[in-house]
Amino acid sequence: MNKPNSYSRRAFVKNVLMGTAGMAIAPTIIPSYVWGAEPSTLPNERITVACIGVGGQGKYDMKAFLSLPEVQVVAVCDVDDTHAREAQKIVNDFYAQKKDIPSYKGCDTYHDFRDVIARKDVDAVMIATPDHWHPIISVMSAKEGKDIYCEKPLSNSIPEGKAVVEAIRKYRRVFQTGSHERSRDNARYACELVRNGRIGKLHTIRVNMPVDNHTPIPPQPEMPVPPGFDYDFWLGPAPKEPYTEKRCHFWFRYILDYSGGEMTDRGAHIIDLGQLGNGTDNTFPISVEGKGFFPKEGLFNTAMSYEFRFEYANGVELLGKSIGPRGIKFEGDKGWIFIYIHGGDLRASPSSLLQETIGPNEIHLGRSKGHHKNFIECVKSRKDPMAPVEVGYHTATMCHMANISMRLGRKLNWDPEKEMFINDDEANRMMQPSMRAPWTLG
Amino acid sequence: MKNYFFTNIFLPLIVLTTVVFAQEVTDIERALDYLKTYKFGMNREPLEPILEAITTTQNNPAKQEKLSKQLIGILPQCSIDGKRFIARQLVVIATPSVISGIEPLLKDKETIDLGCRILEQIPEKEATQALLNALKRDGITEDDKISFINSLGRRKDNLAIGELSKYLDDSSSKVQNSAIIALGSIGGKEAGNILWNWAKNKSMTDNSEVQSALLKIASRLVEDSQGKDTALEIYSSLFSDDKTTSINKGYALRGLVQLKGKDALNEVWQSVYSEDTILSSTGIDLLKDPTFSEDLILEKCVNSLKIASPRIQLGLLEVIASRKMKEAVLQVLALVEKSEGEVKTSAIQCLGQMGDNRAIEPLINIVLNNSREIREIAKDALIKLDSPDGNKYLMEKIQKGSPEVKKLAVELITERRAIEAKGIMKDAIAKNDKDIIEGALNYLAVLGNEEDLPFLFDKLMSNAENGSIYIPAISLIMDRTGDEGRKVMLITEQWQLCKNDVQKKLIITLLGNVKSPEACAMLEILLASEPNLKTSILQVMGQCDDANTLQKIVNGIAQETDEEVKNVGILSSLNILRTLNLTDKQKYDYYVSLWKMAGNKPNLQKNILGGLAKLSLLEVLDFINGVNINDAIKADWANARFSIARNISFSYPSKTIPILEETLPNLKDNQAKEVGNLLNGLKNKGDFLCSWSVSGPYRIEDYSARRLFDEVSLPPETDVNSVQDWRILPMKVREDGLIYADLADFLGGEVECVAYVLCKLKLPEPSNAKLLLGSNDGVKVWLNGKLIHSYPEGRTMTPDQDQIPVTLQNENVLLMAVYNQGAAWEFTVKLQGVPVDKISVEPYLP
Repeated sequence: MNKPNSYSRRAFVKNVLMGTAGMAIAPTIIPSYVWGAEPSTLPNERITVACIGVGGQGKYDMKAFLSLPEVQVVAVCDVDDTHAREAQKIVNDFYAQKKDIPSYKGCDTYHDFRDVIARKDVDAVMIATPDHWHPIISVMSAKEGKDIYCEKPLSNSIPEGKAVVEAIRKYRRVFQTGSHERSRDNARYACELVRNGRIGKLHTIRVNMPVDNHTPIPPQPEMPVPPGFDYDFWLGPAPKEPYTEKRCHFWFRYILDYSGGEMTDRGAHIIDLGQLGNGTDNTFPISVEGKGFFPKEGLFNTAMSYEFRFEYANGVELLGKSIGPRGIKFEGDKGWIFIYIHGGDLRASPSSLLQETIGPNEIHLGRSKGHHKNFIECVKSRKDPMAPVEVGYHTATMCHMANISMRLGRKLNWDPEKEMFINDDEANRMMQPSMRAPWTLG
Repeated sequence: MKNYFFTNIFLPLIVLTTVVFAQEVTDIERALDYLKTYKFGMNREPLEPILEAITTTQNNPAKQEKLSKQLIGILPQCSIDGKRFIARQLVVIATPSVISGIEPLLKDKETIDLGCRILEQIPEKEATQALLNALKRDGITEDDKISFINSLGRRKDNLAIGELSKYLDDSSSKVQNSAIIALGSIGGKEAGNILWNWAKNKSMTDNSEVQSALLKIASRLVEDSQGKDTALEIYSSLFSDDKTTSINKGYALRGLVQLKGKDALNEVWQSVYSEDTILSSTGIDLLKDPTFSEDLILEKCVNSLKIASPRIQLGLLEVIASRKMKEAVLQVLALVEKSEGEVKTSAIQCLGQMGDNRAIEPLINIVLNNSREIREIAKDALIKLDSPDGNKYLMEKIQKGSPEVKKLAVELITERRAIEAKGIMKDAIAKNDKDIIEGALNYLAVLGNEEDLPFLFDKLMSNAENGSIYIPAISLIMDRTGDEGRKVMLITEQWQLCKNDVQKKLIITLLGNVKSPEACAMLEILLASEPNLKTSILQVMGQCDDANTLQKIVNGIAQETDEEVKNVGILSSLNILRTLNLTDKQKYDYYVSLWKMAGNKPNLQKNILGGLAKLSLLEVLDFINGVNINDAIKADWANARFSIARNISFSYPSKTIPILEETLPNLKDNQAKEVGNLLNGLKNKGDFLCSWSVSGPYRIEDYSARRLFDEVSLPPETDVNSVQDWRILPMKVREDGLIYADLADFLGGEVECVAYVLCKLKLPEPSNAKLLLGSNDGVKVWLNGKLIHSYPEGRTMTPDQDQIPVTLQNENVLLMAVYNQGAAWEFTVKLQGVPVDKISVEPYLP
């Protein structure tokens, strides 16, 4: 039995020394203005960012961008005027203080994202709308030449995700999916240990995704739409439904028309690391089998508890459940590593694994100076960031596969080449999105 | 036998299947009936049979058709919300036979989106026809037209091309754009030709939707090898049209390169020189493409490098670097000389990436003769310079260069992890080459192994006056051996060779760096046997995490007359106390002893007060209240007093509230808010149980919290009196008045572990009551030694999650185990059913 170990000072000294020696900073070779900004701008000048969707997560992302000296947030956009005004105030106050201009009013508000992406002076957009809006805004922004930081999950359906991938690649945009756990050094280090065989041959990945909101809520009454909130725009491509408070803002994630519940919400972090550790970022599993408990009444209809199992072509299994400490465990024939999500603590057996260094000729997954910073650096360098669009697509697709399997209550086989379920028309129909006019992906 | 089978198995099976089938039909009919009056907000449970039936129709057209027809049949009688529900199911299972029943959905603006969605999913052409019929209807609105056109586009059915083309000239630009997008989505030669000819004839290529649709069509024509000529025409036309947006021009340029190969080089260079940065960047990107051989682009790259604008120079440097165009090295070097700012730094980085030895010498000169920023970039370029001979070249510099060059070369060799340079480095150390000895030792610290230790020890002993320079390399190499016993053995061997105190002090320092129990034990021996070296030994002993060592130091300095030795001993003891796992009571006893030994030395008193402030016991507060203070330590004394008062506030409110109230006016922001809430909670604690002692955290290597819950019974469960480390658990108060314990905050954020909390409840008479408990994560509760409740899983704490009826005696001991699977770790407890003023709650401190 142990009380917690204090961190070894020598290990610290060693890590610091080795880390410094091994991680020479690599400035990017090409500055941003070569690629994205106006010709007249000077090197190392600002990247202009517009924030679309500035509720809770949106404000968090927006503040992360504000904190980067090379970024200037020039616009905020939300179909809820209250959110837009709040965000505008935060931005203007921030720059008023930073630039010492008390009257600073340089941040504009918008109601319609199309007006924002039409601005020629915007280099990049941050999208933190509800999930069902991610693909349309991403595709349209790519067509307008914007680089994109889009919250996870990438999409609320599989074909929409594919459309985003196609648009990003065809228009050569930089795209960062908001799966920010990928930018944690510990997570990347753990995945490097797995990828370099430190736990032996990887055979099982266990994912724990406890559901925060595991209590169904009772039926909700139809309510008047609050002033300043454009509900029809909020619904966008989703089917028309009456307004009630808990349909929108934070709660949307528990309604399948707009999101996929905990499966997509946290799966986009945890399953995502499974893909990284398994080295399958650019492919899919070959089958999924899930069982979920869906509420029988009330507004919410995403799974409140679940178990699921993916099989990969390389023989690895990814097993998930809605209990346990939130995180992911990689099990090999010589040991295991557990990554705690939202903190990045690591555990391993044998524990000495965590003292290992990755050799120069081994697989290195790179490091990020932070997910938002990494995006901005890639806007300048035109390189792929930590969670490029394909990563977001493959992970979101897995989450959708699990949800569809749970809803149909059966095992589904997946064709990674055709990106369709094999011999299951219902499942294939179920993965199609709602696209209420006038919205379309084009 | 046959009769038995027929009577006992087959017949009952038939009957059972019939009953189940009949039941299923009945349930579905009941569900369908429910849909007639179903309104949003009503219970959805009665609709479950439909959802279940959907899942049983997999790849069974007959079943799908039957269920589709049932759903369509009820549709006209349903409420709007019922219709929406049915439509969602038909999206998954609808067959062509029910299309006519779907058409009413297309006439209602409330359901048109769902009607369209169903038709998008039916693969047969009848669905296309239904959408076309709907589109042709008289008097439909603009929005309806867009809905049908969008759906036809998503169906990608050539059958719709003719009708869609009619809308290319629609008076509504929205409808027109929908038709353009739909034809682009359908793609193929037919749609492509129609859209392309229309765009050309009507001069519509300035419409970005048209451009986008045409590019999509061209791309698919190439993929499907259907019409490369049309694709080439589209790409060429859009590329050369000034009205094409820059991003679409870039797209078209890529298409041209794909179709024309190296013959598109002119267009690529044209783009590189474009003033439009997006197009220019596409051109630069394409210059990296192997379609264009290095021979084809080298001359122009090199020439352009001299005269182009900085923006283009930077792009070309990227091309040269990514293609490792060694033939351009001289021009890049020239650019380094002539340019400034971003171009200069990028050119330097480019040299590193090109991997040409000719760049080494100039880069070294840049490092030696430039500003810090440039120097670092050049150094980085040298570290990364990917050339097989790079290390060899640098090693020559170590042997032949000027002192500055030698020093730099050593640093670079180290960063490049050039193991082949070890001989040269050891030679430099052996010769005591003052220019590079420090760098060479750093090299060994990074790349050395146990085989290098005898060499380093020999240098250390023979050069003891300056021996400290060898200590980091020796310590780090020993660190990599991983065997604590072996490290001490190696050091012991050297101790035996020591001939003077200077050498001995070096060995003592090495022992301190090892910090293992074995090393601490050796230091204890030396402390007793080397009176002249007490100060040195005590200094390094402060790094020992060992209770025996601490005790020996305290015992030693209690008898010590030399003030300097005593001071060092006290500081070392305080250092150990900071990291050692001792109970609060044990730590308190040490601090009191050390306080007495410290006399009136403010620096020592401040350190001791800092340690006391972290404890959570009443006697600590009493002690602090009783000490003599002076101005030098007044602030530290007040901080410590406040900190302890906060920790134990709920257990001893009468002693702590005055201290908290006295301190509150001096606090700011969050701390003021926190203490304000705490005071509110202290005065209005209601039925919360807030006086707890705590023991933990407890962890077992490789055990998850769940496994601890399931499999392990830890000492507090069997005998609370056997545990020594009970201390008062601080409580927190939320703004809404909830009183809870934040175990993660108090116990240090450990995960996969458990802590035990304990309190004593006294009542005037036995009573029935109810415990209301919330926890994050799992929890077990024992009342008077009996397990009365458990919850194993991870969860987020909410008040009253578990409600546990209890029968309380006059005196009760309440013990809880609270498990932590990760992140937040907290609990809150209320007791209801007994008047608050009739119970006394106190932390149990055995």
